[in-house]
Amino acid sequence: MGDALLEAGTLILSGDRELFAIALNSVHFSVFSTLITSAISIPAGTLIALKTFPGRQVLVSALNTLMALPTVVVGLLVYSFLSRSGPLGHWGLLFTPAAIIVGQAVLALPIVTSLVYGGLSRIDAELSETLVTFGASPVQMLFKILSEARIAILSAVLSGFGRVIGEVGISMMLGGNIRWYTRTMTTALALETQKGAFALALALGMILIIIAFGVNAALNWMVRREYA
Amino acid sequence: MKPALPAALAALIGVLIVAGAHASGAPEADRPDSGGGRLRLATTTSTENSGLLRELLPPFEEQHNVVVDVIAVGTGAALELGRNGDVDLVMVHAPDLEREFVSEGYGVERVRFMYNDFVILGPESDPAGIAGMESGADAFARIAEAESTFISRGDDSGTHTKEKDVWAEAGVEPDGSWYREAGQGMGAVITITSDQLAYTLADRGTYLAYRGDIGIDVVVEGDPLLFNPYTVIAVDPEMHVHVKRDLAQALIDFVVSDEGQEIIANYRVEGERLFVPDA
Amino acid sequence: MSTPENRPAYSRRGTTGEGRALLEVEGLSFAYDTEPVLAVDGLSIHTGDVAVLTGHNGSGKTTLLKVLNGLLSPSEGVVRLWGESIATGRGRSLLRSRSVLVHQRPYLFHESVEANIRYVVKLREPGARDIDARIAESLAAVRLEGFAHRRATGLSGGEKQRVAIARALAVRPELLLLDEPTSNIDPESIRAIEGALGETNRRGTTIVITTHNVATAYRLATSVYPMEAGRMHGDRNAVFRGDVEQTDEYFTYFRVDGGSVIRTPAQSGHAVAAVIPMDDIIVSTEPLRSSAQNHFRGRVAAVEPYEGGRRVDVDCNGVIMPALVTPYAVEQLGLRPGAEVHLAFKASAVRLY
Repeated sequence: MGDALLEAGTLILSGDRELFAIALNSVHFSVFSTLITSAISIPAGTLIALKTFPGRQVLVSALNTLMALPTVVVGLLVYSFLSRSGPLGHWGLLFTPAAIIVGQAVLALPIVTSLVYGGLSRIDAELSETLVTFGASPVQMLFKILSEARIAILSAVLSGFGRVIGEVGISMMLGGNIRWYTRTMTTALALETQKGAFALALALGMILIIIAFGVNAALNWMVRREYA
Repeated sequence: MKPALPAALAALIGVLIVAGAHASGAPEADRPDSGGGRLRLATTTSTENSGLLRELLPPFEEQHNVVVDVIAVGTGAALELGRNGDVDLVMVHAPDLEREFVSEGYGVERVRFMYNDFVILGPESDPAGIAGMESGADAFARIAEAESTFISRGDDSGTHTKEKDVWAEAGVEPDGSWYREAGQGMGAVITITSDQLAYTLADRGTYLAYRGDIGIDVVVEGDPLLFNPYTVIAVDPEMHVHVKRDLAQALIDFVVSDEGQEIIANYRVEGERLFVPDA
Repeated sequence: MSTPENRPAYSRRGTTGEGRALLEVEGLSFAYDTEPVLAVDGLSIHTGDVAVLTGHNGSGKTTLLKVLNGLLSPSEGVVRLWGESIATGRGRSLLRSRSVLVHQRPYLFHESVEANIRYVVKLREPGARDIDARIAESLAAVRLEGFAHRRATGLSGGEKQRVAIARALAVRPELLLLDEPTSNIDPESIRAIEGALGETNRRGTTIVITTHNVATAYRLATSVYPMEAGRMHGDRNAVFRGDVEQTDEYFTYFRVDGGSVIRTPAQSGHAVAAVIPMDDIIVSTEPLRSSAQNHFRGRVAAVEPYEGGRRVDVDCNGVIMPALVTPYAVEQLGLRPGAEVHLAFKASAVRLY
């Protein structure tokens, strides 16, 4: 294993083309799926947090349950839609980057929505009363509340990113782990480990850890700035 | 002070998007011209892991100006992808399942083009005393008799199916604390077997990849019962109109051609030949 | 208008009951679910008043304050601002453009002190051009000069409270509502806040404060409304504004604005109000020879039912002194407007604030 570690370091430092293509694929898919999820989850989480409507509690419970869904289940679900035999089969998305992005977006949706909801509902009741007493319009209130919850929202989004960049089930099932095309760090990791190619697997693992660490460090830095 | 946070955020997202866009563009330069379209091939993980396809496919891709997307999954899943019309052809090694696939009308025909073999791996101490035996079935019977620890894939993979065939041939219903079903891939099972100094049935390709890092080695090989025939089957356009029947046929023609067979015959892993062409 | 039940015992300006009230409450009740927490028959607050609601936690004072600011809708009753019900569009827009409530634990935005103030001024007056001046001015009012660029959320409790008050002052409200502005904060912040509120009031802002800090209440109030179990009561204290004239070996002499001197046990320090429980003021038709150190002579100005007894307002050389007696005493002593009486109370009954 010591040799594998050394080799992994060499792979990273030498800028192995395939290694970095795979890493960039992962980042690419995860960034886009996170952006799509955010576009849906931030408004949805905000709505659930700030409006009361029938079925709200049921929805919140459902979201919390869906958060724990194994990626393979999400993958299967999306597969059944995107397969040629499924309702959206004619789009021909299966085994393309788009399929991974859609699947990851679905995976992150309940997580980010739930965290946005949680972040917004932890905001003091005094905030909205303060805005009301100073005469803010509903739209002004919404913007200020979102601005005050920005760290919570950001950390929700980054949690979503962390979840999707580290998942393997969906990328494997919907992307097919096609070399140069839909192979991501996690699917390559699964493949290389199985092949016994521990050096490449370790190198991928290291890059994953570096990315995860970077995201968390950025978040930490922002939180500290905010509450220092 | 205030604008720093949104600015940092925007910068972060910007970098990620640029990186992402770069990623989607970069590999295209490395891969063959994809202007001629894509052909989808479902195969098993062990086939993909063997590395053979990286030698076998590029000449075909070049000749036909096409990119072959290799989707490596379990045997059952590969055939299921064919049934659902999600791939254009399948390359598998599970005769019973293949026959079923074709008879159901999903596959056009089974085309045999090569085989590899399974080996029985065991520790040097060889507690069941099977080293050098010629019959895989006899060796299995001996393992059961000695109640030596045996690690099974236990995942209904092609290898697992073959293992069950051998047990049946040996007339043994494997049961007891010595028989452990891992429910994992070949690599993991080899590692577990090595850690427990047990026996297992493995495909030669995966074994070769692990050889050297493990404390077990081949104890039985060469029994025709342990041979593992590979076939390619085109998905029937009668079932799925969108499949690329002609291109799939072109690939089948290529693997059975002299050129294809030669590539297979010459393919080496760790200096050892892995597949025997038999088209 | 104001009912006898809650009419304040003493008003510095003597405006209570005259002219149109700035803020009026009628038949107000409020219930959380079905639990009634507030029942206020009537209340009038006039321009320039500093009305202080006192009482323990759970007495309903915070709820009342929020109802007055339209943050809670009453189950029954009406709140009028300059004669307009705040339940109507016009009343609501008056409320939102001229009144502000400061919470007990105010919410400060996660940005600089300056940005906190700038944001609310822009909400109120999108076209305001003097924002920088207002920021400086309102921070100076709470003695937080130099805090403009500090992060609001990183300040101490007292500093946060002062920023919240500066933020409220910056929109120049005509009616300022404050929930417990001086509870659980440092003495320096309490002084800064009381100073800022006094100054703001002198410039014409009407203020309603809830507090359980008796000192704050009597230093600032033009009228004090004790609350208990959601009901408002008349204050049983007589409050006199003035200042300490001198202190000798035995007494501190507090001169009431407009005349008389009240003796209290010798004490050091500054005071702006002398507070005497009305029950401790003894009314007699003859001068008393007793240990009481404060004696006044005057004429009965009014006799009214008050807090279950009778309040006898006695005009002592222009200063109205109220005494709380039983109906029997009124009859026995023949206390009628115009009657000449003597008042006496002990020096130790007087508290200075």
